[in-house]
Amino acid sequence: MNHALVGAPPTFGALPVLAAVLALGYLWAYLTAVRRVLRRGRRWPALPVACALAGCATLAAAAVVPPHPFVGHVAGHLLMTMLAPLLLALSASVLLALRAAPPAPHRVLVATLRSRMLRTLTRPAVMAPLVVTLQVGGLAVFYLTPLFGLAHEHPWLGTLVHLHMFLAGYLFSWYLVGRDPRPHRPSTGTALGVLLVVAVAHDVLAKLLYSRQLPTGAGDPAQIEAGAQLLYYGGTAIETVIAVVLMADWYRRGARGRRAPAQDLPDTTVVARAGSRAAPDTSPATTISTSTAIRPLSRPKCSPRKPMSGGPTRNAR
Amino acid sequence: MPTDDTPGRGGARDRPVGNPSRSLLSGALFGIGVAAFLDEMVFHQLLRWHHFYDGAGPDVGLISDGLFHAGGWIATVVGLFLFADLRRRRSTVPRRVWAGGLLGWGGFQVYDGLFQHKVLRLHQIRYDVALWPYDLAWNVAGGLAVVVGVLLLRPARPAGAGARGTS
Repeated sequence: MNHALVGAPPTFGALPVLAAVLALGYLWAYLTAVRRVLRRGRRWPALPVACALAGCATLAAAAVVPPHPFVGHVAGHLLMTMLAPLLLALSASVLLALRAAPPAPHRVLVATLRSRMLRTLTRPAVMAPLVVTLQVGGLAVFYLTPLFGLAHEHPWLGTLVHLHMFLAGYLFSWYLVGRDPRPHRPSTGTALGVLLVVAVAHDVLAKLLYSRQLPTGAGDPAQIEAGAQLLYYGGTAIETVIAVVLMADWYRRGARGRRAPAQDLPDTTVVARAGSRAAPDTSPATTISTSTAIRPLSRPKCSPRKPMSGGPTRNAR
Repeated sequence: MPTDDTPGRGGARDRPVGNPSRSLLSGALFGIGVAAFLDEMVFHQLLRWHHFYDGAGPDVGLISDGLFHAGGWIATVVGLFLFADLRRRRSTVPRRVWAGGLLGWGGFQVYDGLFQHKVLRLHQIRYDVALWPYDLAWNVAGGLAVVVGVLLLRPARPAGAGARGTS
């Protein structure tokens, strides 16, 4: 089995190119948007910019870490599917886009954020299982089945698998600690629960790799054991950082009120357009998370709580 | 509980009433974290007595191990932030924090010593030595902490015999 990888190319086909394009594209769009916001005389805190820079650098670095021996693969995996997504989620790209976009795209963005689909999708009952399934399922399928070997034999498959794991990791971080506005945000308890489930699954997976000498074709036992231990401890380190961010947000919210509101989609006409509301943006990243979370929400004109059925039919009678 | 000793910032205007249940929770989570941290740092990394995996137990044990490992770190973080919040609101009940801490630490120590080491046979405290003195010390230490924690749960004597008498 092991010989399958001996002659394999040092990287997954187009993956480094794809990652570099993604990172550079994201960075270019992000910095352009920041410049627009600053030109309008509004502020944008430095911390998310630092997160965007670090996230893109991590993404690019992850793609060029040589995946042999297995430790290298695990290091690349941790950087690409855990650390880079976390940093990018903290860079608040959608919030930035809301502030920077010209009127027409801005309206599209707001309509998307308020769309019924996103509202349904971000409900904890939908989003939490989805995030867990994508994270844990993707990991398990990749490492515990022959997919690992296949991905190394077929570069396009390897690229696809890594793209999937990057996006799943981004969704996970965005759901737990992302700064962007969205119709529903998980309670701190729900978020901690999701984090715990994924963290436990991650640890179990790492020990399974260690005990069963998986994935097939990853190298000799010593290499697999080293990789599994890096997966175990490295994953825990990043998950602990996520827990710190989650709890720091909770702590900051506690300085203002008892509870976070269930919905935090900002009144974008106020938050994103009017210069008069720019004052609270002066302090660093705190306002990104909490200003959107705390600011009173202007409900959509037609109340979503009454979906066509109640009033009109009764009146028609 | 000491009253106006600290110049509280932030939420100082909140009612300065003790919050016993949150104090207990904060202590318990931190205690669990301490148990996990000691196990990981001292016995796995420094002494290298514990093994990452010794192949003796069933795979189900890995779930418990993952819960202990990942849960320990998350519990530490949550416990400390809860404690910071208690301090900010001046609603710490030190006796409850200590009770929670001892229950959390001792409880997890015993859970690790009896359930994970013996029932699941995840790994042992040390290899190639007579095991029973280690097991005894391990579980008795945890058991003592639980007993003291339970004693601390009882209301304090009026003299304010706060969080001190544990050792």
